Amino acid sequence: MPPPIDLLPSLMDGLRRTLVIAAGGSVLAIAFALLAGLGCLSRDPIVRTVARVYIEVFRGTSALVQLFWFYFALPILLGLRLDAMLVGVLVLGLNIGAYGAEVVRSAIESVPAGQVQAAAALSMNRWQTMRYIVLPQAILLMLPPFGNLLIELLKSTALVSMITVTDLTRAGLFLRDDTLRTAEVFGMLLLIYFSLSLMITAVMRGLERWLSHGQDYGGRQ
Amino acid sequence: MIWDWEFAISILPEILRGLGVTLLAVFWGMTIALSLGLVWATARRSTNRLVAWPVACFVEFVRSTPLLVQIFFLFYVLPSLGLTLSPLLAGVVALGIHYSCYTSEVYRAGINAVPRGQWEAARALSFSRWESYRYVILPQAIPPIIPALGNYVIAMFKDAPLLSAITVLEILQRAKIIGNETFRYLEPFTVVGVIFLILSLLSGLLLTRLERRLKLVSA
Amino acid sequence: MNESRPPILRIRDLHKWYDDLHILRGLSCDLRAGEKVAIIGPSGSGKSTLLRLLMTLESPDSGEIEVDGQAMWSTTPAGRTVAAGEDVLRRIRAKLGMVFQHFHLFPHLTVLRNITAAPQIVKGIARDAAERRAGELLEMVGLADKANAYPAQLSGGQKQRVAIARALAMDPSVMLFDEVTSALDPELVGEVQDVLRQLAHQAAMTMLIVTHEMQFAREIADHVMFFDAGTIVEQGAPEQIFSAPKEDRTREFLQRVIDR
Repeated sequence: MPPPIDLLPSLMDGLRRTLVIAAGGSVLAIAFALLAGLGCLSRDPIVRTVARVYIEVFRGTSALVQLFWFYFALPILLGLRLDAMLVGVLVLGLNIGAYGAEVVRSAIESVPAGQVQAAAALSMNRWQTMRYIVLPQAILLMLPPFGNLLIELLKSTALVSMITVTDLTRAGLFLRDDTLRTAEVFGMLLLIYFSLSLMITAVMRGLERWLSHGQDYGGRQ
Repeated sequence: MIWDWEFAISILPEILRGLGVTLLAVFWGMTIALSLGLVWATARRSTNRLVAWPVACFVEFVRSTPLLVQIFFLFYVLPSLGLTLSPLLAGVVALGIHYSCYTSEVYRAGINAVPRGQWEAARALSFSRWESYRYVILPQAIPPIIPALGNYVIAMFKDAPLLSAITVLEILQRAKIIGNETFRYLEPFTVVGVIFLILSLLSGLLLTRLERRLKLVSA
Repeated sequence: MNESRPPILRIRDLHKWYDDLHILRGLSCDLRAGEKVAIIGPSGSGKSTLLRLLMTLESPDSGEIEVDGQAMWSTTPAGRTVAAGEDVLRRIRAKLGMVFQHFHLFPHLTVLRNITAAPQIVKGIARDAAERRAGELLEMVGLADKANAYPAQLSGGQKQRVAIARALAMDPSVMLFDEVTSALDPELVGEVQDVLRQLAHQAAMTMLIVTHEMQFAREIADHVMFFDAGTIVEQGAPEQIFSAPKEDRTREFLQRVIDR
């Protein structure tokens, strides 16, 4: 294989791990975002406080510091060693989920108050209003910022290389040590990450089109 | 007790020295980001496609790839081109370039929000393009976007620990070294986390107040 | 009308403040089942606030509201105003239907789903039964051909007719209409008023209509209430209110709106 394509096979294992972490982290992030975003709007002050504290802590500290804390410090508190991959998925999910919670909250708040009043006038309770009236409208608003967050998450997966996970970035560092083809290796890494970001963008665009199909608020004739 | 208060306090001076390096990196990094971002933003509005297009691609590329890999790229690749940067300098440049691609989008939004009539009025007064930017457009475009730019200062502060990957003795690197030397990881990393939390919350509050004042001024 | 039956709506000494604004000042009135009542009066007189309180979209600061003999808001012996429990409120609310000035149709649902959503979700009615009933209602409001359209594709008048059908699908015994033609272009007002006229023919339906259209109020209502500054200044048969108002404030108001 001509250079720098010949470098690719040695990066495949790392790429696979990066993809697993990105996928797992995304699922967790979406779950945490919905939970905490809805939690912020709860009528229960305890739920609201818990959601708020989670969001502030994970948005207020550095993702890398969070990774180090969960990988090096938390095991001391728990008395057990945590798998680095698992820590990576968990921390990235928690971190991006905290940002996503704000997206969820503001999307829900931007659904007009009249919609909630109309649902109340039809005797729907809070849960039914949320499930059938507010969320379906809010989700369309959430998609573009969520797409950006998923790209942020993909980029953040590179940080797990610093807690010993041999992801794409760490595989690249090893390959550079082996081959000394520094510019090619790092250029290759950047290109791979860039392609993955483009794929996320494409998927999110498709999802947007699919979800807004038939409910074009501007009036599809 | 697993947590040792005495130890936590004893490592504080060393960690605060690291914080100083972190803040220094953010200061210079943001200086680069704010100036380069403005360059990208105006270049992307250029009528010359040979200028606008490559800049747009570069900005998209940098925004879509990990900062950590960009740091490695600058630190390890530049020497082979005969340009050796110290770890801190390489890190500052990487932070600056990475965030310039975000600030450029903020500038663009600010510039786009200035009504077209302002360009036309400047043209009618026979200002050059550069003079229009300097005296008419930017003075109107920048104040409303200061809070958004401020958010990127906080974001860069949270990304600065990535410089530990190229051995910069910033806050996280010092905590790691303390941990490696004493085999106590809980206190150093928790202290670092708490410092980040306090500073982020404080700067967030500051930013909200600034935003409110800017709104009052423009109202 | 049978005077001995308890009123379907009983309102006593209702007060509501918006910050410094005393919008309802000790409002009291009764509505009997089947009555068609028009509420007229200047803006800010508390007309819409009354409807919003009835729908529990807002809470009164003091006073009592009873719907069909069930207390929605009541006064404790200690003088505090308290709401009924959540499930009682929901049961009471199910007797009331409301149509809003700005329609508030659900933009993400088709016309048909706008109408069937609440019966299916809230009442647990089977889909085909809900759709059959929706079909009848759409027929009634003259929009049978729009079942699969989305709200954004409808004119204002069509939207409001769907909103009426949506409220009726819950089989309310009292319908509240909050200035339902105010947001419409003048040429679309008629089609919505036609639907209201049709509804007024149903003897059992109680209607509470807040409106700025005096001619329409006179025609559709069998009782008119004139609101001003948070109280009912005058009420009676439409002929009496419009032809021979007793109060100066009523006369002034009518002069002002009719001259316009």
